[in-house]
Amino acid sequence: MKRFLRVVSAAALPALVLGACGSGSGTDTGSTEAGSTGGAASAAASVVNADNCADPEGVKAPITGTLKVGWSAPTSGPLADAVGNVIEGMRARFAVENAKGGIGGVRLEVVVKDDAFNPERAKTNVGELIQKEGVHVLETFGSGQVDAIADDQNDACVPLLFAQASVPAYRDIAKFPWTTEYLPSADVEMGVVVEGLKKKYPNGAKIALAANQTESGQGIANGLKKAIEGTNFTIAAEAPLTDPRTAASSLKSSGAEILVNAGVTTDCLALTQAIGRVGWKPDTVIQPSNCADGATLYAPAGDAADGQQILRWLKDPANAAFADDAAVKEYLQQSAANGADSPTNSYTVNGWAIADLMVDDFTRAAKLEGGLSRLTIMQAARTQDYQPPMFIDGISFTMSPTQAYGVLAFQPFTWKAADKAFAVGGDVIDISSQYDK
Amino acid sequence: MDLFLERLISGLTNGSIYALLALALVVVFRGTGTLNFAQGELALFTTFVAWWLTTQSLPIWFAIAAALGVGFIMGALIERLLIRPVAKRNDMAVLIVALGLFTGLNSLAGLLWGSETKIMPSPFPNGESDFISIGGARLYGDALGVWGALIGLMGLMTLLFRFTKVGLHMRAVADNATSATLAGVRTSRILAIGWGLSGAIGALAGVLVTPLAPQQLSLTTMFSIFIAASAAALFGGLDSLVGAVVGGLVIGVLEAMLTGYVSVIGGSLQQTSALLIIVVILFAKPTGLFGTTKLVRV
Repeated sequence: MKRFLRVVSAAALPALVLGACGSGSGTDTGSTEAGSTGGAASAAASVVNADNCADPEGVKAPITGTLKVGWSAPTSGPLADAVGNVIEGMRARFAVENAKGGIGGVRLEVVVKDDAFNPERAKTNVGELIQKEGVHVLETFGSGQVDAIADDQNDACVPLLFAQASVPAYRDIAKFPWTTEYLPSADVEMGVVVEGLKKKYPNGAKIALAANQTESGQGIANGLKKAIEGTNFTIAAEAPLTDPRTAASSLKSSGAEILVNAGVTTDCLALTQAIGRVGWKPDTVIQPSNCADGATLYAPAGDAADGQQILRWLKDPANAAFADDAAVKEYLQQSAANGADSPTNSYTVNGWAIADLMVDDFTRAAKLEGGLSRLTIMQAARTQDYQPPMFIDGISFTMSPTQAYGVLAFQPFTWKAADKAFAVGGDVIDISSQYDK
Repeated sequence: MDLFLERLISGLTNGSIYALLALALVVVFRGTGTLNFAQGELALFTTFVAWWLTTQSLPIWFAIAAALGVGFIMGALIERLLIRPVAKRNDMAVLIVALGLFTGLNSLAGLLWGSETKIMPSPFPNGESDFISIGGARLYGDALGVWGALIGLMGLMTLLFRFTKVGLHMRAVADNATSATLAGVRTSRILAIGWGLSGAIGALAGVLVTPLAPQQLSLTTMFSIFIAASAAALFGGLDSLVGAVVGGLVIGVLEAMLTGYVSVIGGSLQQTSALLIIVVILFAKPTGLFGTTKLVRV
């Protein structure tokens, strides 16, 4: 019933949003300025409200003392290191904010429960985090986890902010008004890839597509197919990445100039080594943005990885290209001073950037009518337009009452085998104009 | 033609990987009648040992020898300290211990060396130019090395079981442990040697296959390899060395051909399709292609 009511209330959204836009107060770019967000927040209020919550007063109740962010994350098992770094980055950023007095005197705290990457345990954890720990905001790691908890946290009206997942279903604001995702959409990423390819191949070209058979891999593959619609690019061959060596030999025979890896992290090095082994050197090789770690995913492949391209939205503190960046210097100093053991690790940077987005969100929420509450936090999240300092200049996290993509721009980087490092491969490509802001 | 050869080489290489681990499973099964579910994770753990030694600037061949030694000792200790006490109760208890070791060894490796992917160096030449061309297809040094290791191991195991006293005792214990004991065979020592050998073979499989594995050296490297190796051992009959090798190669080649030529099912159902074919064969011959039919005196 609650879901039905949410859908009904969302059906009235377009008219209300148009009304809000008509008043000349769309999303702002300086989102920490509360005054400029009033119109956008009122638009967000049409998407997110407490009317259908089990405890509307609790949702609107001002948060005082401590704001708890509850994590269900795999702190044991194969992903423990990665997610441990994300949480360290977040804790370090919150420590910096707490040292400045918190959000108007409210301290930020992280509560973590291990789900061992098991969605069922994530569901149990979220129940405990909401009922026993009384957390105000939730965070999680993994698509399966979001699948398992989204219904519960939407019914309870507890915001799940910047989930470490990229499942298209949860970008549906009407169905999941209390859920946002941090990782970029595969559609957006492939849209940017094709924009970049258009510059290099103005007359189009043939693409070989290596696709992992998981939901993530198929999402990237479908994103590419959508993005090339109406262009002169064609898919010359597609092969499953079940066995990278077999895929490489099949794709080589297509004669394609471009190879796109629609894979997960474990496919990146494997595919590179495979194409090297079958003696294929495509003119352009595009790796997915989740293949970000140069030391383990590119360097071991030697010359076979030279020239491969990747899209990034975060600054890489280990890359010489950002050595003089003031935000990176400040991040390295502050994260290390606040307990982050591996500040140059990309997962730590992600945790810090997500915490930055949360701090911006909470700060804006505190300035909305009613002050800092679960409701205003979610309303502020739906109208966020903010560039965390660790995002590459020109790239911001943009949400509006009608779109929930977040990252809508990337910068291309190219792997240089001789230097064993990525180099800037071009200017930021922004396709936000293609999406309704 | 070169595309077919590429796929055949890829399939034979993957098949050799499966066969190496399947051999370790067969050695334990011949000695104890148990399918060791921890075999893959034992191989993973010893591969982490070898990788760690290479990070200490020790030569790769020394690291492999040390991993084999660690594998042998761990296998023997597992039999002596964990398997033997529960084996007297029932077979299910052994299975549960093996499953416990499966998760325990994986967690221990994660605890000691972290969960981030490591790059295990290959003992064989595996640079971009380290290949020989066969009909346009490339056969690289490390793939050839795995083939050679499989053939060599197969030969050594055959010699051990056919021409040595230890091998004879192992066969006797596997056939009838009580009778072997009455004939003067030190059954407990033979069982420990059997588990130790399987640990060492698993270690060899781990260090040779990891540089070729898509996941490189991570906590998940051995999952899919172990499943295929178990199927290979079953296909061959669980107690046949030749059967394990033939089973491994058949599965490897079937997977490569299905992925390459029948991508509609080979993409997402590569392993399932290959295993389905094996199930059909097992329906026709339940003891596997090379398995021994047990005769029971009544």
